Amino acid sequence: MSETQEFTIGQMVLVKRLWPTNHHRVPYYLKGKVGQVATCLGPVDNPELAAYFNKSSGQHILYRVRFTHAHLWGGNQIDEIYADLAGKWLCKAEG
Amino acid sequence: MADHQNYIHDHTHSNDHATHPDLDGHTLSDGEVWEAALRELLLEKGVITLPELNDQMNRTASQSAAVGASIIAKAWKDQKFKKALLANPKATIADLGHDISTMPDLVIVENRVDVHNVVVCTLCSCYPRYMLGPPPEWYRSAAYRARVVRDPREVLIEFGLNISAEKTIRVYDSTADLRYMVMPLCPPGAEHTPVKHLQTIITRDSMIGVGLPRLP
Repeated sequence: MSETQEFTIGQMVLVKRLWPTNHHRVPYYLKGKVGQVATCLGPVDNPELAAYFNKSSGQHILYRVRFTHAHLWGGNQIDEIYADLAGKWLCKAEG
Repeated sequence: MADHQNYIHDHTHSNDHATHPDLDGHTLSDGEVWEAALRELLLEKGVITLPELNDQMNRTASQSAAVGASIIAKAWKDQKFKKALLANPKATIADLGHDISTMPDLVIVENRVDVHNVVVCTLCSCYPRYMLGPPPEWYRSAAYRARVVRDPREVLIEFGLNISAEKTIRVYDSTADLRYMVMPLCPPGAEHTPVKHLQTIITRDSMIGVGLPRLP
């Protein structure tokens, strides 16, 4: 069950607010935050299973997402943070 | 000198084990005890062989930021190479004769007049070892990882780097399996400096993004 590309470059996405206890490669400071898809990086093994040497769940699409410093921390207007996140962790941001 | 407390356990069958003469006369820390126990188990159970272990140790020991510096220096001098390197880093580095078979995917982000890039791994300590050698202690510290995403300007000032308020600081958090490194800007006045000299000013820190190459 491979995932297909669900988000397009430039689209605003929300990082899901989920708190699994297993290894999942999404930093807490990005959860619940809105970013913009900068690049689609293609399919990767699901890190949540690959970390335990299990690749049976197929692949997920990895996106590089741009967050503004102002949105994350309320700080200055020009700095940015980029992070690489699997599509399963993203959903379409409202408005 | 039979200071047995320095050894994990007495070997009556130790001839086929890796020995570490460097550790003679040195009291092992907890981490070193864990490492030795794991290493000996992996060897004993045949998960890895001693030649494999030694090959990997040699490979790790030969990695250094000089590799990254030589590649960035070449890119500064050769626009065609630079374009290929940014578009397809692994293949371009392999074309130079490097053995990158064990290197994870690599992204090289280029500093611009209006953008300064910095690399971190907030979740662990992902680092482009093939290009930069082993990571410095501070790169793995909780303080750097937590603070550089929260307050990059202040952290860079602590590294001696005052980025102008008009310039965007772009922090790359390597959350997935890609490794990131920075291609710093060639300092003004260095355009005609030979590659051999250029690569000495391209420091490890400048390729992480917490420093800049400077002409002496």
